[in-house]
Order: sequence, then structure tokens, then C-alpha cells
Amino acid sequence: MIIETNELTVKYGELRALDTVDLIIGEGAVGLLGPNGAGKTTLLRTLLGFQKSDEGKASVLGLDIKDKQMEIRRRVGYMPEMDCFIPGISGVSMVSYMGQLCGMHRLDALQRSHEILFYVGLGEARYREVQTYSTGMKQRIKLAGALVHDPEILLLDEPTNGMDPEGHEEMLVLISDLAYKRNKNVLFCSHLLQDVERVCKDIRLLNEGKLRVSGDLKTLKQEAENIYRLRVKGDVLAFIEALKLKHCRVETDKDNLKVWLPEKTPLKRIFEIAYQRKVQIRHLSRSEKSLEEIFMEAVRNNNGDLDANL
Amino acid sequence: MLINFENVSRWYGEVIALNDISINIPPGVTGLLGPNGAGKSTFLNLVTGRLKPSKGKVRVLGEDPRNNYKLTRFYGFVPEQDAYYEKLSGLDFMTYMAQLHGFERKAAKRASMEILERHNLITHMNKPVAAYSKGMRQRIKLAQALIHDPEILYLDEPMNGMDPVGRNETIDFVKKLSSAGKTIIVSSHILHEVEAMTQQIILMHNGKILAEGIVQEIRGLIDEYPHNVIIHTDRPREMASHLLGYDDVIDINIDDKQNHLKVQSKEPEKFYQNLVAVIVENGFNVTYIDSPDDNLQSVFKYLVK
Amino acid sequence: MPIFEQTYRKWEGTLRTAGIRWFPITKMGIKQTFKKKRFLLFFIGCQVPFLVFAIRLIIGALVPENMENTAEFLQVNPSFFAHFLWIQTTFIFIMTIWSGANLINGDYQSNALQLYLSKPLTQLDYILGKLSIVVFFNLAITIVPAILLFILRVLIKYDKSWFVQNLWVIPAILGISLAISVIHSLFILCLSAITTNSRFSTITYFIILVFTDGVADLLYHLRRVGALLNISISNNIYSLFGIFFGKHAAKIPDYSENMADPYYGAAILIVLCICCYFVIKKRVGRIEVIQ
Repeated sequence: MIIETNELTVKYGELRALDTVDLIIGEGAVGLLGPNGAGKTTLLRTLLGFQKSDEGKASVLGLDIKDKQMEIRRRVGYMPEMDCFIPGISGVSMVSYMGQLCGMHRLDALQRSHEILFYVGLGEARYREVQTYSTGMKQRIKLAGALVHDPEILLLDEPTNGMDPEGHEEMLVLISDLAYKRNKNVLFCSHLLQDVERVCKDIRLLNEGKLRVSGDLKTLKQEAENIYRLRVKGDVLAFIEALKLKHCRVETDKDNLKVWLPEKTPLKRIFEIAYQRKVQIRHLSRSEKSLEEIFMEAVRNNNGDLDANL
Repeated sequence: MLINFENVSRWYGEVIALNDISINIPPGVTGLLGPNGAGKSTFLNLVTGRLKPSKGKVRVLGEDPRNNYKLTRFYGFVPEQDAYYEKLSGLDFMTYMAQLHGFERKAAKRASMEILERHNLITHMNKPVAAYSKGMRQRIKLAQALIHDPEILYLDEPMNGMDPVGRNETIDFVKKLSSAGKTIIVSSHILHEVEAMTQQIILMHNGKILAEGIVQEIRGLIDEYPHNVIIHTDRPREMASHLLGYDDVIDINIDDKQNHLKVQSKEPEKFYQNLVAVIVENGFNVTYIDSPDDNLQSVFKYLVK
Repeated sequence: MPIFEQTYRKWEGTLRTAGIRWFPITKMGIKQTFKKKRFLLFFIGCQVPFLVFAIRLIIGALVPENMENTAEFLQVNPSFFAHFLWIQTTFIFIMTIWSGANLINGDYQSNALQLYLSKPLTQLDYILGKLSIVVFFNLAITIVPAILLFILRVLIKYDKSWFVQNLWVIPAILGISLAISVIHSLFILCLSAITTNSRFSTITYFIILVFTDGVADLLYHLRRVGALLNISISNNIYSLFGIFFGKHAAKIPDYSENMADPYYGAAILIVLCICCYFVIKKRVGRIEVIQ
């Protein structure tokens, strides 16, 4: 087990920021989700030792958070959400400094720093002072700082914040590489559900201090077998009509169709109808719940009403 | 047209932020998309009269927004940053904003309470803004821009840092306002969020407009470039041999183990037309068709090159 | 932009778990301070008294012993060292500002505290690291040159009786230098932790020193009560010479009889240090590392 909590409770006065949370996070890339105020931040702070827990236990890599804090921080790389840097020094110096603060020998840290900066795409900018970096570069250097001491776990807090589409994409590719090819355990905290879907296999969703959803995405997203999503081009209305004639239920959302095939109707039928109506099928896939749907369901279940946290 | 740019350029010293932009913005929701540095913020500063164009003309509702006090009655601006008088209570803050818009005190208070009610902030109206949660802050930001019931609303990166619940709320809210007849311009660098709100978009890059129009049409532009289509089928090799008969198909990758085909076609329109026929005429069992390139991001990449 | 120019390699090394965790902070702080050219000039300027005293020492050693009217100032005795350190204390006031004014508020501005505290460092480590930067510079212009002068004297004219008689001067030098350095460092670090800008911390530092000094002087002249002189922080600092050098302090040219009582002074300074430490701890503790 990578991270494990046992009835972990954290209170701010009367408010239970974490309420008897029993959480197990295994290896690989796991998404940590939840609306603002759900307890994600509190959980991260408690695991890293900035917040004392009131009840319950928690451990990271088998180390108890109560007394093995320094050891935990040596094996965890945290990438903060907010902008942070050491002014007046170059990228290489900053990352090397962070390595030294973890206990790396100066030369090791420097060598590693160069390597890591190339890895995250800052190779050419590594001698420039950090305050001259663009938003995307600042995000990358935060990742570099979290990687320099080669930790087993990466805690990434909104890693693509403020990056433009290209940088955003590259960051996700980097994180996937780290999680799947370099054997890093990644805890990915983000509000961008599409990013989480892209990178993570498992999710943990918190709401109002409690763990609401826990499991692997594939299973959570499964819908019934006979539902398909399509995007078509051509005489869409005629196509929908024809589907309905065959007793299919159809829902539309702009140019996306969700089709329920009646029992005993094979998928081929859709193609036959498309052939008849001379319609192009641009996209076809087994329908899955989107992570957004899963999220909204989970958040709604509390009181049937969304505004609980706001 | 509500907003009109005619050969507008704006530079800061040597840096050119907008490069000869001519555009008309119709009523409804329009998305202004582009990476950081594309010129979106400059655009918003020009329409709100905060900046003057270095060249060209900007007209909002037929008038020059620069130093135009009257025009402020007709638009509201929701900035990206959080900027409030933190010590004031929600109600005091809104009342002050209303007064700045010209309401006299009693009317200002009444209008404030009404709008706080509409934005679900009425129970927090006496708390200082500093104590508001992120979601509440977003709502009061929207409220202060709408208190004078303007015709036009400008939103600058409204969903930055919001959680999915807040994001959905904002999207619903914008759609609601739009059906009430307002014109809304949303500036963002997150393509799919804007896609959820509107069909009309303007793509910007390096101070120029790359494309404007309906999302589907722009996305359809990808058809002009060769792109990949992934197909899952029971007999991939057989299908591949059929597809190769068409001259628009340039390349096919076959993965026997997973029954995948990746087809590269230089004329996607033709390809899709032929595909269904191939599937039905040969009885292939296809469970998945998708093009990873068929999205706004890929269009953007091609347009930028 | 190609991403995988070099792939990620696993690091086979181990992290040091023993030793001083905050030492990299010290090294970085020293490096960054020395980067400023004007500071380097100032630092060199602070060593000028060392040169002057060294020359005095050399001349004093070379002059024949039996000259009865050997000027007082050529004698190398405890008050020689005390005088040297007395002069350096003036430089310390400025050195402290230069090396310490933006130590913590600089980190607030760039949110660097988050980076520090998410590493295996405790709050105490962070504070000690920052403190050690100012202490380093202060010691560099006090202990180091003072001990060098001592060694120089011993090397030039080895005199066993002189050596044995004046051996106590070494711990006295160490003591006073450490005391003054630590007091100043804690004070400036405290100000740096409670202000947001190095300008504010600098101004506050000077205002407090000048104000307490002014008030002490004024009240003393009005009432002639010795204890009133202890209101002035700088008076208290200078009075410490009385503790470490005893009667030899009286021979320092500026050391007047109207000096503040050294023991009151020491007590007040200890209280000041403790307060500063707690303020720093509280402020650093209040920073939310993850928001």
C-alpha cells in the first residue's frame, strides 16, 4: 500500500475537514478529486505533516505520519499548486538546491538537476533566472523540483494550472510517462476531469470530508452493454428518425448522439441505417459514463442538492 | 453587430499584442480562445475602453468605448483576478458597486439584495468577503458585473481554478444569461470548457485571428489535413485490404493482437463516406471508430503552423 | 518542443539522513548575498579595521621592548582586542541589515516557504538555516579577524607568559562575537518575518534602534537614573563588553563610565532574543504550505 488512512479525522474547530476517512491508495496513477472544501487539501497537508490529525491513523509507504515525517518527505515529491520559486537564481541552481535540501550531496544534486531539467523540457532555459520563466515553464520547474531526489511518490497539485494547450498536453505526457514507464506512484489532484481521465487508472473522490467514490475508472465508467455514443455527419435528423423507427432510444447533445439499442439488436444495425441514409460515422464507441457524470452524481448524493459546499 | 473591430492593432513598445484585427461580434455567447499571449486580454481591455488602439477603430454598440462613461451602463466585466475590498461584507461590497454604477443609496441596497438572492449569496451577505469560499467569490464576481443589468458581459478566464461543480454552474449560468438575450464574451485558453458554453468561437494566436465561426465548422477544417482514424474490428487485415483500394488512404497500421487498425487518410471526407459502405457491404463487426485528431486542439495546431 | 531529449533515469544514490539538514540554506544564502557587488565592497571595507589593527600589532611587536614611553596604543593587550571588536560592532549593525533584511519576507513574496517546508526540514531547520546566514556574516567580521589578530601576535612575537596571561581573551572574543551576532540576527530575522518587504524591515530596524537610543538618552539626562540607559538596545549591546572583557573594557576609548549596566543589559537582550524567536516561529508556523 502506498498511502493508507484509518478513520482519519481532522477538525477545524467544529468543522470536520476530514471525517473518519478510510482510504487506501495503491500503486500507479490515482486521481484525487473533489469540490473545493471537500478535504483534498487537508488530506495532502495531513499526509505531509503540516496538519495534525485529531483522530485515526495514516501512513505513507508504511511510515506513520505521526513520527516518521522527515522520512516521508524524503520519499515524496510534492509539486505545489501555487507559484513558488527562489528568486535570483538560475533554474539549475534552484532544482539543485531543492535536491540538497532533501539530503542529496551537492554534486549529485547538480548532476541530477541538469538531467531532470532536460527531461521536463527546460533544458535550454536552465541557466536563465527562474523569475523570467513563463507560466508553463514555472510549472515545469516545480515538477523538476519534485523529481530531483527521485522520490517514490509524486503528489501533483493542479499540475497543468495556467498552461496553454501545447504545454498542457506535454505535461500530461510527462506525467503519464512517470506513472507508467518510470514506476512512479502519482497522486494527481486536479479539477480538470479530462486530465484525470487521461492519466489515472484509479480515482478517489472526497466530498465534505468523506470518501465518496473509490475505485478504478474503467469499472466506474461502465454503463450497460447496449449503449453507444456516435458522432455522424450528413442528414442527421433522418438518421435519428430511422434509428427511432427501429425502437432505439436516442439522445442528442449538439452533434453527439447517445443511442440505446433495444435487446437483441446488434450493433450492425446502426451501420446499416447509416449506409441507407448515406450518413458518415465519424465516431463510434461503447458509451461510458464520463468522469464528470460520476463526479456530479457523487457530489449530488449528499443532499440531492449541489450547493452544499458553496 | 454589437462589437466591431476595424483594422485594429495595438502594441506595447516593440511588442505587438494585436495585429490588424477586423471582426464583428454578433449577439449571443462568443468564445475567445487562444494560448497565453494571443491577445485575448488586450482585446478585452480595448472593448472596455481601458486601452486605446494604436491603430484602427473599436466600436461597442456603435460607440467608441474609450473614456465613454455612458457606455459602462451597457456592459459588465468579470476579471480574472480576485480583487475585492476584503473587509466589506458581501452586501456592503455590492451596494458600493451599485453606487459606482449610479444607483442612489436605497436603490443600491435593494438591487444588491436582489442580486445576492439570485446568486445564492443572501445567507452570507453580512459576512466579510474575506471569509467567502472560492465558489462564493466567483459568484460575487459575477454579481458585481451584473448588478446594473448590462447588455454585454465580458468574462476573462472565468473558470480558472474552479472545481467541476463551479464550472458546471458557470456554464449553466452563461447559457441562462444568453437565452435571456444578453451578449457574452468568454475569454479562455481551455478549449473544451468554452465548447460547452457556445458554438461561436474566435481562435487567436500571436495577436492574429486564426479562425472564427461555429465550432463544428472550424473543427471540420481538420478535414483539409490528413488525419488518423482508429478502427476496432474483428477482421482488421481484411478491412485493411479493402480500404487500401481507395486512393485517399495513405497508410495503415495493423495491430493483430488487439484488432486495431490505424488508417491515415489524406481526404477524410472521402474516407468517411466510403467507410460505412465498406463495413456494411463486407459484414465487418466494428465496435469502435475514432479520430484522435478530430478536435479543436488539432485544428489549432495546424492553423498555427 | 521535443520533451524526451534525455530520458528519466533512476537515481541510485542515497539521501543523507544524519547531519545538519539546514546547511544548504546557509550555503545558498551566503552565495546569494555575495553575488551583490556592492555588498562585496562593503564586506571588504569591514575588514579595513583589521588591517589597521594588524599594522598596529606588527609595529608594536617590532618596536624594542624597553622603550618606556611605548605608546599605549602599540600595546597588544585584552583591550586591544576589545577595541577592535567594539569598532566591528558598528559594522555589524549594517552588516545585519544587508545580509538579513529580506531573508524571510523575500520568501513570502515568492512563496518559497512552500518549497522549503515540503522537503525534509522542520520549521526549526528553516529558521536556523536563515539565522545562520546572518550569523555567518557577522562572525566573519568579528571572530575571524579577531582570532587572526591573536594568532598574528603569537606568530610574530611568541611570548609564553603573554600567551598564558591572555589565553582567556580567546573565549572572550568568541563569547562577545557570538552574543552580538546572534542577537542582531534574531532581531533582523524577526523583523524580516513580520514585514512584507525588505524596505520595511530595514526602516523598522533603524527606527527601533534610534528610537530606543534617543529615549534612553533623553530620560537619562532628565532623571539621571542609570537603569534608564538600558532602554537603548544599542547601549545594551555595547555594554556586553563589560561582561566579557571585565575591567579591560574600560580601556576602550569610547567606553565611558556612564555605560548602561551590563547585567541588566544582558537580561534585557536575552528577553529580546526569546521574544524574537517566538515571533519568528509563530509567523513561519502560520504559513499554509498547501492551500
